[in-house]
Amino acid sequence: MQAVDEKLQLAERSKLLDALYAAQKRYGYLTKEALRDVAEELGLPLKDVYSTASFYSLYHMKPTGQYVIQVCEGLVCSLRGGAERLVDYLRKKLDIDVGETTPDGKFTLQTVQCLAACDASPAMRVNDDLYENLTLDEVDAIIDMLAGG
Amino acid sequence: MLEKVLLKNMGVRHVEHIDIYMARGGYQAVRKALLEFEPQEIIEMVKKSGLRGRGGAGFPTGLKWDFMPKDPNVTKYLCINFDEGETGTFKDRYLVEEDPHQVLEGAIIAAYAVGARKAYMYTRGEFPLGMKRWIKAVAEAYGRGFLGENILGTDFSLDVYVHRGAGAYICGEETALMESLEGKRGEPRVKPPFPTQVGLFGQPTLINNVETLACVPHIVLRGPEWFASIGTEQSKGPKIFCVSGHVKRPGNYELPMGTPLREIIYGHAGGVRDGRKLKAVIPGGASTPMLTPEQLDVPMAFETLPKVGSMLGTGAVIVMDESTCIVNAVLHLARFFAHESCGKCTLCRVGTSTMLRILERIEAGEGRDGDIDLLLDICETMYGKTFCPLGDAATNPVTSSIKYFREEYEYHIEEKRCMV
Amino acid sequence: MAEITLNIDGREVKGERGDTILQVCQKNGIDVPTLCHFAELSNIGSCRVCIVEIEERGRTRIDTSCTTPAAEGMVVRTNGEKLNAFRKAAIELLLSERNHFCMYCEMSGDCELQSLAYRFGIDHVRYPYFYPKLPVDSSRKYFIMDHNRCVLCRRCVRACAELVGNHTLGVMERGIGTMIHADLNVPFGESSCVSCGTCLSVCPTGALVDRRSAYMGREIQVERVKSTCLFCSVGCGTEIVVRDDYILRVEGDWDAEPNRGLLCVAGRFEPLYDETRERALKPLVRRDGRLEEASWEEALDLVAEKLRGFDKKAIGALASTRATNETLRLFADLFKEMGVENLGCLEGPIAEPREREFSLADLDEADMFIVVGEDLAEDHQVAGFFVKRGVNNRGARLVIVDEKETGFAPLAYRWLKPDEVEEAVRLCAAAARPAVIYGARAGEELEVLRRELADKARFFWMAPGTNARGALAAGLGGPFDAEAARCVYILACDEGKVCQELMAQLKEADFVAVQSSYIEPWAEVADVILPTVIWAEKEGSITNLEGRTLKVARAVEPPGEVKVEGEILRAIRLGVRG
Repeated sequence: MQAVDEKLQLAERSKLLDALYAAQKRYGYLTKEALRDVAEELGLPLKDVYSTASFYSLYHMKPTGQYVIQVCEGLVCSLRGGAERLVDYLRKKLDIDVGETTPDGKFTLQTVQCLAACDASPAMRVNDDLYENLTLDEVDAIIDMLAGG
Repeated sequence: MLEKVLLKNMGVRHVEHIDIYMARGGYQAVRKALLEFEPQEIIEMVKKSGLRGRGGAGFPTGLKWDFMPKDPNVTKYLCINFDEGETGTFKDRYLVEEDPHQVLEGAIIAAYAVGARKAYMYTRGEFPLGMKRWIKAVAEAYGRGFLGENILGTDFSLDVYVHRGAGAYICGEETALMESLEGKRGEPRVKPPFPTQVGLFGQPTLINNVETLACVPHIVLRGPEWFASIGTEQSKGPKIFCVSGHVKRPGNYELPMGTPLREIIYGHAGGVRDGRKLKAVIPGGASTPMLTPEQLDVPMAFETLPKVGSMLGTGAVIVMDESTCIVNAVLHLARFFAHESCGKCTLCRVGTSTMLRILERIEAGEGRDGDIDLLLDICETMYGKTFCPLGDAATNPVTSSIKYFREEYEYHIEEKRCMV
Repeated sequence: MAEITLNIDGREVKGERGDTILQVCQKNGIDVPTLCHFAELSNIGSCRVCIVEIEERGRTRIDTSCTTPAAEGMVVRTNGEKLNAFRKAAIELLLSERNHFCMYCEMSGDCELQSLAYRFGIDHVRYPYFYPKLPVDSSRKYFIMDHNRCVLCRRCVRACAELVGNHTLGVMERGIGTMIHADLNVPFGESSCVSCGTCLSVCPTGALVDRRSAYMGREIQVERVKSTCLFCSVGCGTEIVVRDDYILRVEGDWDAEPNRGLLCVAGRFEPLYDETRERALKPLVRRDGRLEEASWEEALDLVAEKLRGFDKKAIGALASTRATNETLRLFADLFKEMGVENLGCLEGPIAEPREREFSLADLDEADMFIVVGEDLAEDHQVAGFFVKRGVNNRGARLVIVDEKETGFAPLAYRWLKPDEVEEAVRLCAAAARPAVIYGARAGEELEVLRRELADKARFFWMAPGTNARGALAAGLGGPFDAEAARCVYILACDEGKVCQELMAQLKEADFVAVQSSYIEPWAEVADVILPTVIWAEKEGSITNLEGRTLKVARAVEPPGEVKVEGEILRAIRLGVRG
């Protein structure tokens, strides 16, 4: 046992991103309680946990729906006639704006930058699943399937 | 036409399983490297091959490996950069998802060459499938003794870990990646010291891109001379060019370094879709200056693209036809960079968002006289003076598009609508 | 240290290996503009204002001088049209980013952003303004955070982490949405902030503003008096900021030991914000049960008469440790001369510490802290910052040996009760440089530690009472017999806390004379109140817990008919001698 362990501190800190993913899964999104849990678990100051979590776009600091839809609005997906059309379609279909969640808590609509699916654009993610080469019909089918299930 | 080297296993069913991979010659390179060569010999081999980093910067790989301290008592790490986030780039994702063992082989050989006992794969948070396949491949490799203690009976041991990113393009930058891996905000570090001196957890760290590592087994198996025989004077080996945008057949195309841009677009990707005319092309991913049909004959290599005012970058070719409003296209890229700016330095933090606002108003028909020069002013202020190269990258689409398509901007401002 | 030579702006200049280019420039009188740089903090290269042109090994590049190490043979250009044009543009970008309205900002005239704008001749901003809607956090008691004026230089974040070790402040979000926040993004007043005010003292703009002194004076209108804080025995070096004989605020002296610019809430804010008692401006004498104003002559005569009248065994005298060395010696001499032996400190008896002198700076080397019978969250807070830095920034371990659960318990590796002290000794085995910090409540367990860790640990005495060492030197550390004292003289200074027991005993005394700055808490028990100076009106020296003699300087003139402590004591001595 060492009295001073700088390397140990660093090693503990390196668990933070994974700990945040786990907390997000457990709590649904990163609530203050979730963040406090993580801070205590890793022995980190609260501000470090919040500072780090709020930096990354995959951590949700606000409540999200059961399915988080992330439509790629990058250049290539737009060139292929994608992003804007899809986003508009989803806004109308779900009756919410970008960044919002449907009242039944099922869907959250977000736009994201390049998903590295440029050869199969337009593309979107729903939670951890990637959907490529999307047409409006396909988007329809995917949403209906998820809404039903 | 060049045989497929890196993409040899694309489309082969279940090649992500080690049995299939090995049946097609996999892990012979690891065997050869560990059993027939000393670590320094491997480094010399890679130097001789002329391999340059495929993540965008193009730094000579062998030289980087050689920078790592040789003292065996110093703890060293290998870091695999799988944070592919550059718009238009999708080669690394395919490599890891479809053929993870190839990358793993390269990683094992790299770690052996520089004396790293631990390798960290940093994967983009948006690539859960890639991460899953990689973890499985790693488990299989452990099972066959290609990882863990005393690999193949040598005194070389290697453990591989996975760190999942959480949605920040800036983490593709070496030092920002290390910050993120250490559990912090992905803000780049001051250089010097460089990662090969002070890297992860304060230790010397070798950071290599996925495609770069995928080249390594082939260099070992077929020799550096073979690798150097492909490509140009200063850019060696096969390269995966990602073609996307208004082409008939978007996808990954493995071709020799130095293949002319025209050949890539028309000879392989089917040319512009629907028989349309080419308007502009970004040759190396969103961070690189765009080109016009005039420069189409440029060979795609590190040393040749600067001659026409651009860069090879990741070799991601984005094709835009006559239906593209250039201002709108640049607006998309500006939105990308403003969103991904880490915020640490004032020039990039404010500059990227200011450029975005000006482009937004031009696009919306509210552009003002002097806006074009204002954009150029911001670009000049930022270029070379931001904390990290993301600032430079953000200016490239703007400066290059104004250089070639100024009249489109002017039209937007004067006529308050799109020229197209 | 190895010397290196550079060529800066055409001149050959010298620096030391390990210097940054900025440091070499500063050492050689070359003025490079900066904003996020602050001498006592780490350099982050974020504002880009200090950029210079560097020529090295045939290559030229532009980089920030605060982060680039200087190297032998470097050729540097710090000035020139191009560099200044870029700096100007960077400042303009900052001015466009948030809402920098100088006309009603209290920092106007002393703002570093504004100064840079003037320096570069910025008369307009060429970039479109963002006009973001940003909050003003006024939840803290003593100072406000206005995000509209923040330039995200992160000095506050670095100060809170590196200097204080508290880690309350951070940056959240990214890009243009970056904001300073506290803990889990809660109002600052509800956070782990300890109101030390260090962030306030490093902020270059009017983002962090001291409530009480806002709009009260520009730098050119104020005077700065270097003094020493009198609110605990650490003796932090202060700069008292005064205008027209009025105290605006207290700042830390960055050059002073042992605090090096840091202060705590007890010295920086409480004396100015939380002092609500009425000053004693004229002598008061009790007539017919009520305290009434009297002349100095009358009051002093009465006191002298009583002191002459009582038997010396029935006289007792107490001194507050807030008094200077000079005053305490005079006090002790006065009563010893009279043959009075029942002397003591207002705070209670003080045990002579084993350590004659030590250096708090040595705490920065410690790899383990054992805090015994002391709550560093309440008392000697600046000494506590050394512990916080050690634990939070260096990974040192903290072991608390205390009956009470102190404010530092969340930081501790272990909290042991005094009878578990052997465990602390055991834990010390792994430490190379342990430090034992002990306070007034330390008992037998301290002796155990002394025995077991004699050759290994350094000991640090958290002296109870500001000038405890001065009081001990004057022979005032002994126990006071309150029952025996029928006639009591108290040198109270501006002390506000007096233990209930003593007060009860004083009520029984026949005559009580108090030399005090405030009427309370003496109104009920005093027969005479002799008005005297407060901390900012004193002159002299104190000896801090390290054994260091520190200067106390007068910042403002005493009001009313108030006299300095020494003058009163001398007058009494004269009166007693007859």
